[in-house]
Amino acid sequence: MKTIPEINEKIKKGEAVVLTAEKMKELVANDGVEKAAKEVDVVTTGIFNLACSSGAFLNFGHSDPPIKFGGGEVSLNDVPCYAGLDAVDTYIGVTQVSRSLGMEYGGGHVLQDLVDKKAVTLEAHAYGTDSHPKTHIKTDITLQDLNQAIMVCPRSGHQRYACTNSSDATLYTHLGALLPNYENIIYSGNGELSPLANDPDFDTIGIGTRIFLAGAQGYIIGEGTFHDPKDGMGSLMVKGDLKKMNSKYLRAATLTNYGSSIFLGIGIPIPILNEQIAKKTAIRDEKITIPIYDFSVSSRSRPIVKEISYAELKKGKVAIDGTTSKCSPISSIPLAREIMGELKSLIEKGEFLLGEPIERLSTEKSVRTMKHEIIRVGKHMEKPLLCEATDSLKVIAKEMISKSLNNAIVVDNEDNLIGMISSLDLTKGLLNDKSKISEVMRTNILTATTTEAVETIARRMTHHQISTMPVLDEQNKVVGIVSLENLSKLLGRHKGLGISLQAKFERR
Amino acid sequence: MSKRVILQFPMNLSKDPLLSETILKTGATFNIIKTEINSTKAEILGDVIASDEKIEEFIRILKRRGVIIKMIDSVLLFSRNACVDCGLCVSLCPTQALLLNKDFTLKLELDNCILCQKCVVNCPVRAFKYQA
Repeated sequence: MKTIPEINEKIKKGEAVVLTAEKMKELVANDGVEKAAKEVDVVTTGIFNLACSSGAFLNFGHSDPPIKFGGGEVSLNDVPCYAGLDAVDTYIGVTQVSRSLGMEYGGGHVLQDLVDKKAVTLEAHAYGTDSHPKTHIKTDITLQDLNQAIMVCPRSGHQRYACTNSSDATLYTHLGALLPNYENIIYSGNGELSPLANDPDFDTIGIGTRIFLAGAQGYIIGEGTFHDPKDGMGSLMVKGDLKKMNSKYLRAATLTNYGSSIFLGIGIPIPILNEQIAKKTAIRDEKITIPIYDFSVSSRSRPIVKEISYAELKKGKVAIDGTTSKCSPISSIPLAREIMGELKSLIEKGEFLLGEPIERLSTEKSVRTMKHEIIRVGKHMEKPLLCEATDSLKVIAKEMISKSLNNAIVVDNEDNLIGMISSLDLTKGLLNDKSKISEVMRTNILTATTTEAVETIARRMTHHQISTMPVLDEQNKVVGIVSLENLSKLLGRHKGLGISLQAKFERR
Repeated sequence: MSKRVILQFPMNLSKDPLLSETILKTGATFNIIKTEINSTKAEILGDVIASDEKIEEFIRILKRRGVIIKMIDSVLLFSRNACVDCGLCVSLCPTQALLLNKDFTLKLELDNCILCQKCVVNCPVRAFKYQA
């Protein structure tokens, strides 16, 4: 049994025994937990991951005459910042995108430019008051011109899942491009090196823990948003001084056709206070299993294709449904190693003392989903005109004219989908002297199910350039038809802004 | 030995059987990977397969006849400084031109590259650039 103050005394004297997470695992494997717990004082862990929930609070100092950002508009290099704070404070988030350059340049790029000592253009518009009369400012600033530049990440250190894509089109996601037909898998987190894999029950990581944050000394200031320790998805809220950071560990990123973000390096020292803690830091990739989600299902509850260990993912190839999928980490393992090494050397040199947590993080919480009504296709479909493959073209043509319909769905005698026929198919058929539906119908039809969200279906139809889709129930029986026109009308009521944003970020 | 090259034929040379003549003259073989021929350019991506000297001779002859020859690494530019070894490009690369070393650093085998540019488009830190 050791205490954090005891370990800090050893660090100050340069006597602390510090191992990286990898070396600790070797030591436990070779010499056993008891010996490792006795010999080792600190284990350093590290992760270099996308940290989309990140940003920084900045204070620019007062202008003359003073300006009040609050209630106005603020931007840095044309990336909009939060204007709901006091006079010259703002928060810039890494996923915010430039008004002129779009997702190629975002809040993360502004932060990296600041850390790289580049000048950044601040522009603000204010409504002007008696005490703060200035209504516009445009000036170039660098990081050292700021009073404070405090990075605060509401959620970090949490990612541990993989994704793939069963559909026949490439998907652009927050982890990168997913090729069609399970061609690749992208996994987040790095398994056995990451802080939360080594202290999964938050025995030592708590509020007040001092951490390595992109080269600076930072702190854990609370549980992160989405903190879900019960599901193995705990998360951390962290802060650190941007002025002391190193862009080697803070890298702006653009996930093509998804958005802008940042890669952030975090190192957390784990004090080995007892054997239980030592044992937990011995965890290996083989024992850390994560789900691979199928992102082609654009619903909150994406299906899990497979549960798999980091050890298997790191081999680079995984078999899914008879396909060999190539695996990409999106979390840099070499940089995680550098972070662990750098943190180890800082502690050994006495330049980094352990912070004693003043409060533990919850190990009980789980996550809620958003409270809202899901707009399901089942409620917004129309009654379809059904016919059978053996029906006469002329009879169905008459029926379509009398009901002013452009489409009929071909089913068998139990309402299972066989094909579809449009007024154009009918016209062609009649011109070519065909007489049966089966001669002109199209098979291989994309479908929707009643429980799917209308947004999902509208996107699918737009993507495949089709205007109508049969709707199936849970028994795969045809129960309706939806048209893109009607869905767009329905969605248009809610999303005027959404549509203009979509147009702005059309895929290249 | 095998060397992947891009041969750019100026349009005024389109009647001359330059490639065949050079193959016959040097005895080098040439494996065509991809061609792009339209009204403004004629470009062939392929491997010259021969001894080092023969490859050099092959390139020299074609250059003398007016063909512009580029190596993959002068067309697909990679910035080691920008790369963070996230590994995303590795599973997007269709030809094993981008691989991970044992220590998970990125390994380039540009002689396998077919210039599909998936890495250029998708690299989160834009470490790849395509320069035609």
